[in-house]
Amino acid sequence: MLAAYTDVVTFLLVAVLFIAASLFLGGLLRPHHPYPEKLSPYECGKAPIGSGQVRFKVRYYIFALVFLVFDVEALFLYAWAVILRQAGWPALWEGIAFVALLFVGLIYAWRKKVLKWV
Amino acid sequence: MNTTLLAFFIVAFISLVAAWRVITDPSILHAGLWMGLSFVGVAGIFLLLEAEFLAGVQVLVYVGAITTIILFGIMLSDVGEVRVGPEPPGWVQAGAAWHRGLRHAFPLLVAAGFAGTMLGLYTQSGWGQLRERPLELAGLSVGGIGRELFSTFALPFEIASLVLLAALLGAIVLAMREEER
Repeated sequence: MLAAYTDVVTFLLVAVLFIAASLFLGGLLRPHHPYPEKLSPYECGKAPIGSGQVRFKVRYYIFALVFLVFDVEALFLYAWAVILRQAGWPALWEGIAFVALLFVGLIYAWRKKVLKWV
Repeated sequence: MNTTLLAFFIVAFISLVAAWRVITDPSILHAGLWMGLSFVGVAGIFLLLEAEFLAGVQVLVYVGAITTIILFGIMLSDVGEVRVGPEPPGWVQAGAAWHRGLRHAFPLLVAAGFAGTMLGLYTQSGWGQLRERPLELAGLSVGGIGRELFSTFALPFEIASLVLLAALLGAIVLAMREEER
């Protein structure tokens, strides 16, 4: 079973090496000429106001909470997707019922205007 | 040294270094990201133990959800508010050397105690003798868990959906009440 993960390891290594090589070669080629304006954060061409690390509104925490629930749902769907082909119709309906129940929650969140980005 | 052992040492090393950075990184946001890397390492260890589903759980829930929630929590709180306290009074400074020693010794003591407990459990359990994969483990692949989930445990599975729904609605109700305040 573990042999199947050789591809994953290869992929990881290539990804890390590619980034490392790109940054290293870029560092060799690019000119080094920093000045305060260049180092300041980019805000659509305007001079930045205040610190970059502001406190975000607590309201956004609800997005994280809603995401948490659907993340756990995805976990169950992972096991579901693996066996769906051999388990056949009953499993399909069980999975659909599972998603449908959580869809009710999504509709509730939507109607309560929780998902509105303010 | 065989490949699995080598892979274990690499993954364990990454996980330990990341865990060490979590407590030493001066930036709390970076500490949160290091924690994510540490969790990825643990997922690798699960994979090496042939627990594919647990590795998936680890990546989805711990790396995906817990780390995100903690990073969100850091961004939502004013990190600038976290400051080092004022100069301690004289009698505290007098015992500073003793205090410093204690401050370094105490985590070591806790870590040693934890390591001792884990080692004791390991030797008691007889896992050290397990060289071959036990037969029951064969069903623990993602497919095996999925088959059990959709036949034997179909009802608990649907109940899990209801519990998740209750959690979602509860989170919304609580958050909206906070909003009104």
